[in-house]
Amino acid sequence: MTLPHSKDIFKYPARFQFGQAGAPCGGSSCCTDTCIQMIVEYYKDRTYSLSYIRKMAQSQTSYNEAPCTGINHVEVLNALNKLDVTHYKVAFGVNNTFVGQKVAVGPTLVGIHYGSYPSAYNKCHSGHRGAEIHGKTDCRFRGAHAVLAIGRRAHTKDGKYLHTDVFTRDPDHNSPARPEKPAFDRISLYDLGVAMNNLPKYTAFSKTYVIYPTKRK
Amino acid sequence: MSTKAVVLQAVGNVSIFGWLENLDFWKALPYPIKGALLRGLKAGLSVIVAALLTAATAGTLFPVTWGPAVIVLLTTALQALDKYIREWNIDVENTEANSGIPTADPVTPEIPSGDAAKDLPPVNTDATVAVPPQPVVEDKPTDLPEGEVVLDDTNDPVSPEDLPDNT
Repeated sequence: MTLPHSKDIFKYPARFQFGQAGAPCGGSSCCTDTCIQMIVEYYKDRTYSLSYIRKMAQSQTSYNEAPCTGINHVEVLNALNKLDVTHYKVAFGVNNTFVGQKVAVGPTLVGIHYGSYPSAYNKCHSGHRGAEIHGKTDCRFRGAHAVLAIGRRAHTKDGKYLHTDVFTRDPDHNSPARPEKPAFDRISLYDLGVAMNNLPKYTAFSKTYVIYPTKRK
Repeated sequence: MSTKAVVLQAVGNVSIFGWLENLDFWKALPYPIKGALLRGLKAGLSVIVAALLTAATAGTLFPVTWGPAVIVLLTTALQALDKYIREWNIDVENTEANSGIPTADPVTPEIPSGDAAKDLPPVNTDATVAVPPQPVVEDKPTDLPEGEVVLDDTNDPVSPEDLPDNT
């Protein structure tokens, strides 16, 4: 497929950490790499493999480089810079409102607690509200995860504003057990905030974590 | 960076149990098995440390000078194991995705909040990289620059308005 060379990110394909040849650890550790892949596709209309993105991410540092270990924010920014995307920054301790602002600029990588991420309809019964469109299907994974926020909208009914929605692309799909390939999830900005705030509560992170763009395409 | 940050970064780069991930038999184990093994090891260590501490407090053990050193050593190992388990979420019962975003703590332990980009620590440019993976070149047309690939896309883009709500 030829990338669309568009300013509309919805015209770009969703990418998934599973099902990509040569991905480190079979893709299991590649949620962040996959978000980078989508960011670079959007801004540069170039596609790099997950293994190449991992190589770029680790080219300047020597943190834990086991293939089944993901990449941290320093490696993310190094990879983006190496792939000629130089306008991203990292923020810790920010909230869902921050994401809502930055997603209006461009795709925004958000660290979340996956156990708190809204699930697909009739999946992952956890007592939480599910996603409005698509959502999580990897019910057993409850660790730290990265999703890419790509848009937002006002959720209205009969012309009355109810809440703000955010569109996200969750890389955790397209495995043999879960072959679905959703174009995006739509969840409320509130629910995204819950998943963000639970990242430091239930994982080794001590603060919320976002990598955001500073300029539009 | 402060001295504390430098020390924490150095400690964060030395993973006592990270060598496990280089062993083939360990790589082949499913995550639930790894988690069970590590949790078992942690529980065993915890019991031993607790017993030693109790005995040492009661004065019935370790009359020799190396006694406290053994307790410190085991406690350190226990803490490192706990950190390893928490850091990579290896104890979660997942079969597919693992934690793709390792904690930021070993790198920037002192970033308080907000836009922290300006506080990023310097990267270790002298670091050696252990055999980095190569880019996938399947279906790669010859006119693509190095590293670029063409992915098979069967997921056609969808407009936000094209899908029905779950609810």
